Amino acid sequence: MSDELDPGPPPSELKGLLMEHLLTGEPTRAELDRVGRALLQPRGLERQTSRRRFPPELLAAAAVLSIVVGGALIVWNVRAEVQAREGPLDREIFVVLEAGDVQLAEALLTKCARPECQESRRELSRLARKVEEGVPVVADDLEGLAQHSAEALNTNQILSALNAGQLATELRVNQLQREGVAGSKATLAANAFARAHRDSSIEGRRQALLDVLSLVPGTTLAGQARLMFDGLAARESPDASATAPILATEVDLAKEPEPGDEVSAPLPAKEPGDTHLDLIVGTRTRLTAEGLARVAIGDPGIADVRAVRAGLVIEGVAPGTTTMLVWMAKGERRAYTITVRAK
Amino acid sequence: MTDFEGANTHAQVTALVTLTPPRLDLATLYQAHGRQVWRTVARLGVPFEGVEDVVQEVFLIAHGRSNFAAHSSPLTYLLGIAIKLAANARRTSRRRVAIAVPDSLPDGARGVDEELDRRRLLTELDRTLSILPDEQREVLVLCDLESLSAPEVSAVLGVKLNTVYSRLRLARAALLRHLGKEARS
Repeated sequence: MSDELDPGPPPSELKGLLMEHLLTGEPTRAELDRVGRALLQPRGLERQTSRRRFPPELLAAAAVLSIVVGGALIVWNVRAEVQAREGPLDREIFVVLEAGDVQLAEALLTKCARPECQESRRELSRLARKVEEGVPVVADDLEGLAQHSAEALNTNQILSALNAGQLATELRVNQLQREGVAGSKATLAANAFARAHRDSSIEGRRQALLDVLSLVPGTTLAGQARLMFDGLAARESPDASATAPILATEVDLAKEPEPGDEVSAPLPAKEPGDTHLDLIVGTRTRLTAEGLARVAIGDPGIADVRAVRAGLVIEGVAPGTTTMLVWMAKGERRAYTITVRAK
Repeated sequence: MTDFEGANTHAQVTALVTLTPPRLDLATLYQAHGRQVWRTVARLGVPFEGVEDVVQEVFLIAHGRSNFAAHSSPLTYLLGIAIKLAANARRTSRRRVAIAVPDSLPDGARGVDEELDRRRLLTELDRTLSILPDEQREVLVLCDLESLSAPEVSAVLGVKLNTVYSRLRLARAALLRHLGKEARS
């Protein structure tokens, strides 16, 4: 590249123009003073001199920190963007699972055709079965699920959902209401179902599930509760197949007593050991108690229960074992195991 | 660009910090170079009403910068800032449909005729120089009107000396063609 030569002074043809404008743009004294005063105003100087100066090491550290934090934000944004692109189904799955509704999450995963969703669904089903059977789920069990799922499937949250039973009560209430159950009863049943997951003792879980069965018989939730109850029973007794299915039926307490109802025992104490009733097919027994609010029988095919004045009449219908729940007006609840033997 | 550019070790940075001379007083700086900066800004096509603001900003920016005191020539440094701010102001003014002429003249101490004449000259110069691209106009104003040397202009604009020569040559040629056309018409 050749060097440019200094063009020298301006050509004579331009000198006239340049001379004419030698002072063009020159400020007046007043203009100069005005700007000078503005520059030297205390506020202006304060603004300039108030700048804090940090040592270069600190600035360097701040720069590194900015890069790291900025990078993390970018990653977070990208991840959010990717998740947003993956569609509403994924987000719904995450939300539901994080809310603790394993069954609903499972159902949603079924809708997702991607292989990782299917794998997650299988893992989730396996874990849900373990929970239903009363087998504690440990963190190791979640490794498979985490491998096939996005990071949104937070291990702790799943563990919490599965083991601690933080199931989505609200969703269950809605589902029950859609199935025609009244709001208060739906809430009671959903809470009982949650309690069935939360309770540390098998007996506590059984009682909670019986509550569900008696409160909302014939509903989806009752079906789930029955499965879970059977799972607990199978764990408790190897001869699980002999356990009669529980079909809770609420007894109308307003019904008038019939002639021949006999009183065989007062309403026993609430300890589990005292709540066993033995009957023979075709015989009746009467439980007396004041302030009965509601009663439900697990399988009316095994024992029939009717309300009488200040008590209940229970009749053995067929051989087997079933459960009866009695609610008192003060809110107390008692569970009875009724065993009916053949003649 | 910072004071510490090129300083790789803590010791080098510390040395630079220690050696940095105290900054110049703003009042002194303005007294010495205010007039020339003002004139340059006005000649670079900044609307008359905006010149005062640009000048003020030039000095505030220069005074606020940490590397100002270490600069070899305060004037070239100030003019470098002025060139950039003037370019911004020109771009802003181009977006406006027209620049309103004020109803009253700001400087009551001067005669009305004198003030009008002053503005007319500035408008004429602006109209003439507006045929040039910005980079040629900047070189012509600094070299031929402000009488800065080519190396000084090179420092102000941050371009090579050859670039200054080239732009100056092109600017003068374009201006001569324009004046020739005007004379013929």
